[in-house]
Amino acid sequence: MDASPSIPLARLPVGAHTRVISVPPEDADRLAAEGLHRGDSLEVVAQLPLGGPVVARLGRARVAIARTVAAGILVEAAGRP
Amino acid sequence: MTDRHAAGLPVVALVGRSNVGKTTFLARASGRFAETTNAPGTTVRREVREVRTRAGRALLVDLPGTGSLTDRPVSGLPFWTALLAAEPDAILVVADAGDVARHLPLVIACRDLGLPVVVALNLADEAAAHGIGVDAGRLAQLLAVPVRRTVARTGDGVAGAVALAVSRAHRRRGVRAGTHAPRALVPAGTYPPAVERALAAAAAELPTSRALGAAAFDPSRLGGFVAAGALSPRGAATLLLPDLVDPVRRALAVRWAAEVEAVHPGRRLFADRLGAWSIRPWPGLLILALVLAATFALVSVVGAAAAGLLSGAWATFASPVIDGLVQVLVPIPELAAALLWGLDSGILGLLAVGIPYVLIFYLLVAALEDSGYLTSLAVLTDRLLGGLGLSGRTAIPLLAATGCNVPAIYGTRVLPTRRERVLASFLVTLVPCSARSAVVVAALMPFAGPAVTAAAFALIVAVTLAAGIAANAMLPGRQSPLVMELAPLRRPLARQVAAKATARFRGFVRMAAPVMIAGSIALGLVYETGLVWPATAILDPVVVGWLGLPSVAGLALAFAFLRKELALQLLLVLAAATAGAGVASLGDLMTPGQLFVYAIVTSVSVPCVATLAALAGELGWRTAVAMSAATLGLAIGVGGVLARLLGVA
Repeated sequence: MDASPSIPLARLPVGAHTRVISVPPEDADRLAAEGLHRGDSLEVVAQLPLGGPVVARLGRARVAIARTVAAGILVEAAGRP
Repeated sequence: MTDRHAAGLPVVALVGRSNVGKTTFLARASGRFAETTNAPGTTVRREVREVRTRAGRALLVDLPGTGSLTDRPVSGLPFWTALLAAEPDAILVVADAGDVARHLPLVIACRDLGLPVVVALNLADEAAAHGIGVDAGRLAQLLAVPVRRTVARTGDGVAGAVALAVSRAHRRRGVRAGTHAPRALVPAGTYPPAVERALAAAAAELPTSRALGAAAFDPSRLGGFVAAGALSPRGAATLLLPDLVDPVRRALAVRWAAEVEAVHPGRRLFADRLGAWSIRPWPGLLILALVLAATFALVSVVGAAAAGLLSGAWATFASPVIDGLVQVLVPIPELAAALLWGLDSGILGLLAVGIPYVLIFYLLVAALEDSGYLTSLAVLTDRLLGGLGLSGRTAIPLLAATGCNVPAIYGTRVLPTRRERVLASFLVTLVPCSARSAVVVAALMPFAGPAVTAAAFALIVAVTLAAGIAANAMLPGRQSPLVMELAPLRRPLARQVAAKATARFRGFVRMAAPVMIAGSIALGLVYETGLVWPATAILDPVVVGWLGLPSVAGLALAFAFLRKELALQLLLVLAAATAGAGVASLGDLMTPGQLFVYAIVTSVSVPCVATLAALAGELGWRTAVAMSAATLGLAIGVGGVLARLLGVA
């Protein structure tokens, strides 16, 4: 892993492209089941308001992730637009 | 799998990620459509179909969608246990032609097992519409397995891919029987040397790993599977070391995908844009409001018209015949009358509720499911349902509950934990189904007006939310968060929607018909023999004293347990019997305030007997009875408070 600063996925703006630095161990299985692993590239496609889920695009698939889980997923902060 | 041994047919397992069109693929391959959903995790049961191809006959087994062989898509067991339990002779992996990198790791994992594998690159039409082309020939070279392009929606390429898999399955049978020469299936050295060494070491140790333990998915069972020839030692080793091989497979998938894919960025499709809109608050909430409004409009307008037609036809053609027959065949007048409660009005009730409301609703839900919209609904409602200890997945059964609670309770099977199933089922029983909504509307609309009717529904929603919050606080544990792949929006296939709706409707009739007919006969017996009247005295303290309702209302409420839509008709019949002439409408029997209390209590109180049976079957009798008692207590409590606020009691 390089030394780029990390930020929780839940705090990234819609449209940001980024890479996953780490996933919380307790959610790793359910995230892996939907195809999200450490090191994967993704794009934030929706941030639902009032603590709703985050929707990320992985390849062509879209995955909805509860905010509590997205808050524990660290991604590269220098998100490419 | 006894049928398979009886037939002696080779088995081809269908494996693939969710939303890749596996079930449609099965329907095309076997020529028969059935239960399928464009939403993740909905193939709960295993479908087995016999197929006839130019390569011979075989059994095609549909397995739940999964991302890898070690995922636990249902029932907490790793996917490979279900796969090996099907005893496949070949695996047909259905992958998305438009998202090869995401689907290849599963293909590679299946290939590693040492079983013959055929790949169907499905959704080739959608991929092409997105400007994605795949060099299937090159991919086949890289994988060293045959790759076929398919479009399951139209059937293109399906027969060829299935025939190929079936011929591989026959060949493997032949190899095991000694009539065919074996062939090397997997080229050596796919993975880096260090990984291959670790796999070889694990494969060599397989027989001794029996000492590991005795869990249901005990990896030591793998040794037995290898000994039985169900998979290769190296294949078993890959199942034991997923953390080692999965990252390597993903890297390989990305590299191979880049090599075989040609992407021409095309125009953005309307379905994709609609999919993006449907998960944003704006215009997603507007789309949601339109979908719900259209659903209710269709069910209420078309349903009501169909119900009227059916009832009219029944009264004209069926009723006289049934009445005449029963009068002739049953000489005891009370018994004849009681039988007619079941055979005449009971069957009519089933038809008048079942066909117009339940069937139409099933068709709508099936179309919504197949369109992929329900996963968008889950995203939009996740936050709201989070307050009730549930995730957005629960929105799907809750929507279904407004048609009929029974299928909605079965629908909670998609929820991951028992806690969520219990909470969701409790909410489902409080959601007014079409029969209860009809009672509320018929009791209030003519005598109190549309504003009061709307207020009654608002109150029922508020009571449901409050009860949900309380239940969430009382049940120990916490919710499992939503992590769910969204289905792409697709135009539903009419045949598939019709097949699914009729399959579910048959299930509904099988479950509800005996209960409604037998229940109505029992009701008729109690009524016709006059045993009904002493019962009022027992209920009077609550019904008259606490709820401020006329005495007969208690009986109608109690009998509504059998059939909710009877709550009004029954009240009129009982009222006429006690008060004689002069009670022509509910307005003569109760004030608008009393009708309001009556409608709320009917809607909130104990679910009908069919719902209770479904609850007991899914969650056990203790939970079912506890839930029913809770709703009864809630209904009586809310009703009593209302009666005092409205000055009725």
